[in-house]
Amino acid sequence: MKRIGSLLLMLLVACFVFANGTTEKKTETPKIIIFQSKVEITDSLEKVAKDFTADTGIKVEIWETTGDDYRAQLRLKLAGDEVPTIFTVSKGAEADMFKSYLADIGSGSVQKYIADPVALKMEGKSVGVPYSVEGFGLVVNDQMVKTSDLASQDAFFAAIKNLSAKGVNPLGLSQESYFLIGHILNTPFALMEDPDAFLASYEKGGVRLADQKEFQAFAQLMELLRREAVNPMEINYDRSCGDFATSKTAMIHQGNWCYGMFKDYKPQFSMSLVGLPLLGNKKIAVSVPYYWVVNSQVSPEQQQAAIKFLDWLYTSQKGMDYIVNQFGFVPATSNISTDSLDPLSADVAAAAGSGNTLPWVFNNWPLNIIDTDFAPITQEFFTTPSMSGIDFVNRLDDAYQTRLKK
Amino acid sequence: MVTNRKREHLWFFLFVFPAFFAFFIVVIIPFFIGIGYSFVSWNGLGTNPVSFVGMQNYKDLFQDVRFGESAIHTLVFTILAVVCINILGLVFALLVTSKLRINTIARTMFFMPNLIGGLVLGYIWKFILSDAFKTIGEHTGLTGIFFNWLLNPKASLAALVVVITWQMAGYVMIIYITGIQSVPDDVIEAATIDGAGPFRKFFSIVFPLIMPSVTICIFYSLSNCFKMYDTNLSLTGGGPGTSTELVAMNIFNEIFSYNHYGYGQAKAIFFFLFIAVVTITQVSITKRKEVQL
Repeated sequence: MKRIGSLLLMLLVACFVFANGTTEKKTETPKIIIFQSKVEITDSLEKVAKDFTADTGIKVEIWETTGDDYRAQLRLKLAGDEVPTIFTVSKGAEADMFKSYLADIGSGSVQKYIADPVALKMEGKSVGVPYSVEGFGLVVNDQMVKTSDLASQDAFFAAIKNLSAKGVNPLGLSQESYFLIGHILNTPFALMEDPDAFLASYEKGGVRLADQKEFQAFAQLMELLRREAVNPMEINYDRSCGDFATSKTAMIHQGNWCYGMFKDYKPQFSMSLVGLPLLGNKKIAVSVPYYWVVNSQVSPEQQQAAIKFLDWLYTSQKGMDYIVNQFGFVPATSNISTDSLDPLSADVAAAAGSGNTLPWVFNNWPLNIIDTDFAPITQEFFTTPSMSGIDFVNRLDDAYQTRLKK
Repeated sequence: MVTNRKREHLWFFLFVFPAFFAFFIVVIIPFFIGIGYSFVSWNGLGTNPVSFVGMQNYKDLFQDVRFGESAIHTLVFTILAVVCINILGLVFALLVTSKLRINTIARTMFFMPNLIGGLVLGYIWKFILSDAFKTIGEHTGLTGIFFNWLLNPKASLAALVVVITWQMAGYVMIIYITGIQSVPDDVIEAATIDGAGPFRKFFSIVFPLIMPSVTICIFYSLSNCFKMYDTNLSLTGGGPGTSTELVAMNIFNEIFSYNHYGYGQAKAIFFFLFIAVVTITQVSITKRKEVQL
């Protein structure tokens, strides 16, 4: 009887020991946790964390994830026990969704270098620091694709056929949702006279995408790619960049972020970032992809520490060096010089400077629609030869309208 | 004075307690919380409102076309998989309990795939069925079988069946082995003396006597196949388009991509009820067929 009693008591105590093991003591120096989605900069970000801790004593923990998974993970992490102090959101639908988590960081010293068009403001308060400026379009191998090939839509289509006849993959898409359809579908939306007005009237209803000449051109391009290019379902991001760097692919629909992926191959040719020549377009799509935001649900000390980190990263010498040289970002803040950029980023900086750019309309599409609807439909398109380009556009149209109703 | 029976009960309770405690906290409590969530509409962020909508979620799920398609894919997949797994498992078990020399090695080899987790299995087979098959097809010219299976909707579903069979057949085989080995030898001998051939012996004597194992195996494979997510995610990710999006993946996407937490939870409760009804029916039918010697 006594033995059983003491055994039960031990069991009960054991339960309490395990229950206590996970609570944190709050007497340590504030630690900030950064959660962001860019895989290309994760190694450098770890070094940034070490340098920042060495300079200021504030501990930094970096959480990482893959680009496609980031959005799903963010909600889980924000609801967990330990929440990220700094995370990233895009302007538009995403920032609106997370509105209640965005702290006012107007007190940071980096704010004075942020111009109004690239600032993220909620109800007049500054809540974000622009990551960088990014642009996407066609990354072309200058030896295989001449400027004349990109002068008009017809020349472009002819060039695709010629390259394919030579045994080269003319235009490489990749199987990841954004690289498969997300970015390239931005072009017809962005080519409208007034993209915002078009999107507003489209969402109100009564407008069919397939009636617009921009989307008809898009449909033709997709049909052409299905016929002449390697099926993007068989290629992933790594292989797409590798094939381009080894001249097996002449053009890839990517952005300046992928330059870091070519480093290992030491490409022997020069490359440039140009606009997708639908209807004669020459502009690349440039915008601020993400904004660093501070979680408003953490303690004020952690918020201050987070603001310090962002200031350090964007205004100190070491921080700025990381941004331009290690991350390969095109700076969005006016205090960082743009002299030492790789060729793709230089093209983006030039376009951003001249203002000759296409907007990122996809940030205003219903949240996650690229992953849940557009990508599966595009997969079906590339595996069903009987689906015409216009059918494809209609399917995308229907999916968008359905998601609007939810 | 604690009687012997009370003492036994106490020890029994003591040993079961840790597992039961964990099960209660991790499965039972969230299950009831989930039932509560299925009646609200929420988008998952702590600071956004949770609004009560009653049975609306349940009404909506019957009109959800994509959910219906997922349900059909899951049914087709489950029926094919359960048939394949059980037949293959039974065949392996019969092979391994006969008088062959390689019995123990064969037993180990057949069981090994079960030790690999579903996610890793999916990635390995993804490589085999897409790149490897394509290369083999190009070199041998047998492109009828060796093409990239994961680009074809029907072939992708077949691929899922292949992978799950490869994984579960070994486990099912072990259960059948114990069933077959419990068939007494003298009954088999008597049948041989009476002139029964191998097939007659199997179908009239062995099979009815291993019905308990059949109950367990069909129940196990049925519930596992209905609920499959990890292999689905890593092998096809929903397949070309949405052709291999099974119900578990549909629910997961509903909650974590569309952010319809309440609606997704309602689908999950409905899914649970469906599986419960099917498996309980199956168990009661096969249990009635069990014979005692």
